[in-house]
Amino acid sequence: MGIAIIAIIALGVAVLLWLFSSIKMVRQGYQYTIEHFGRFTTVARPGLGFYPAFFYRVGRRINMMEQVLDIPGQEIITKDNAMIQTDGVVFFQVLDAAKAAYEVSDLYVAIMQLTTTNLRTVMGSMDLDETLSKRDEINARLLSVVDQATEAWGVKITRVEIKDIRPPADIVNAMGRQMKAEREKRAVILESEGSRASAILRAEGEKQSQILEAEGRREAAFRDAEARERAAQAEATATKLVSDAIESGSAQAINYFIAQKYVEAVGQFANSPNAKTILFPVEATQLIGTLGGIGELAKEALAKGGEASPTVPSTRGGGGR
Amino acid sequence: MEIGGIGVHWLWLLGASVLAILELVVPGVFLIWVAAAAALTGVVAALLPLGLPFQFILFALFAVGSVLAGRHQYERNIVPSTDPLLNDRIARLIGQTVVVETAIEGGSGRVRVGDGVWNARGPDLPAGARVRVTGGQGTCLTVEPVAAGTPQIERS
Repeated sequence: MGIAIIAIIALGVAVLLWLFSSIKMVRQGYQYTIEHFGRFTTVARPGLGFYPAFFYRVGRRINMMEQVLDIPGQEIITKDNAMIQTDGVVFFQVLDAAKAAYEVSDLYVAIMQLTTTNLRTVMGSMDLDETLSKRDEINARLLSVVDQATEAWGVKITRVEIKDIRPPADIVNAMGRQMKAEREKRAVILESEGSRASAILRAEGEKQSQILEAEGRREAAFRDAEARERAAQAEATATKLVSDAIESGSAQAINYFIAQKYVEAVGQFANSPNAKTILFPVEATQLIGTLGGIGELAKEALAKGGEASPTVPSTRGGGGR
Repeated sequence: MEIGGIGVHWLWLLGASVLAILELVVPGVFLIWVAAAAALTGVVAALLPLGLPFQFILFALFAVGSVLAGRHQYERNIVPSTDPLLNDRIARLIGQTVVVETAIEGGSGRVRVGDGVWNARGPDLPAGARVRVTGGQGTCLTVEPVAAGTPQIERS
């Protein structure tokens, strides 16, 4: 009786356990692979499933959500032999639970290794400057390669991102100096361009001013010449008038005028404040000749009458005043 | 029948309550059906004078029956999800118009979806052609050219 009760209780417990292991409740975001005597048969989708134990069992519990995998930091040698430290992340999602469960042994390790090796390939084929400036290209190339490779595993790689690229400290230092030198070069060039432009402007201004000045002088010279011409013309007209007058009158008249001027000039010498001595730098013979002319005038006047002699000193005195 | 001066059917009902509480505390272990079976067994034990072994057999049968009934009920009345396409990326993409990124040659190429690129199968098309996603298998989309014969070329 006692053993029978124990057997029956054990049977009840066995039934309970069997129920527990037969009911498969799959939560949203996961899929379970169901194996029938070890062979994959179907995928249990989210919800309640009843797969009788002993015949069926759950193979793998596959996470169907998008997942992030860290690619650990590693040292990569670029094309121009710079050693850089880099790390990244891979975003992926399992789209085919059966393939992810059975086509690859360890999905996470496989994806990580695949990404790591391809990261080396892609970045190793670039110069240091390119790796730093072309992250988008690196990401795109990595994504393309890794995505194609993982297609067989039912995994969609949605993103591959390089998190950080750290060149060695001395190269960072050199890059800093290069950047500074580049900027200084630009500053110096700009400065010298500015001074060049200003010198050109200044020279052009000077040129302009000199041209204007020369034009002014030319104009003035033209006007001067005109004035001289005009003066000469006036002189000529005056001379002509005088000579006409002389021609129509007597030649003695002109002699009278000249004599008058000479005597006046001599008188002015006498008036000058320091003229105790009178020098005649002019041709004295001429003056004497003129005096001869005066004598002739006097002679003529005496020959004609005798009244002209007192008038000569009087006119002389009047002209001197 | 009594154990320790208490009716066995009370013990069954007590067990059912404990199992139901456990179900609440430890969710997802399906104890609620076992609790239902225990409660049923308790009711039957109270009404009929059954021996302890027979009660256990009854309990096991009730447990199987309640699970099967529960599963049947679950499959009959599927509560609709407000987002049935959750975790089904390809199903979400069906019907979308996308641009061919790498020309489809020999039946396979790549198309640009959002800022990502997907493998695609379909008729041969040059890069830049617009295609509609009709379905997918694994991680590969199947596409067809957008109707109206002339694929619009779009530079992206």
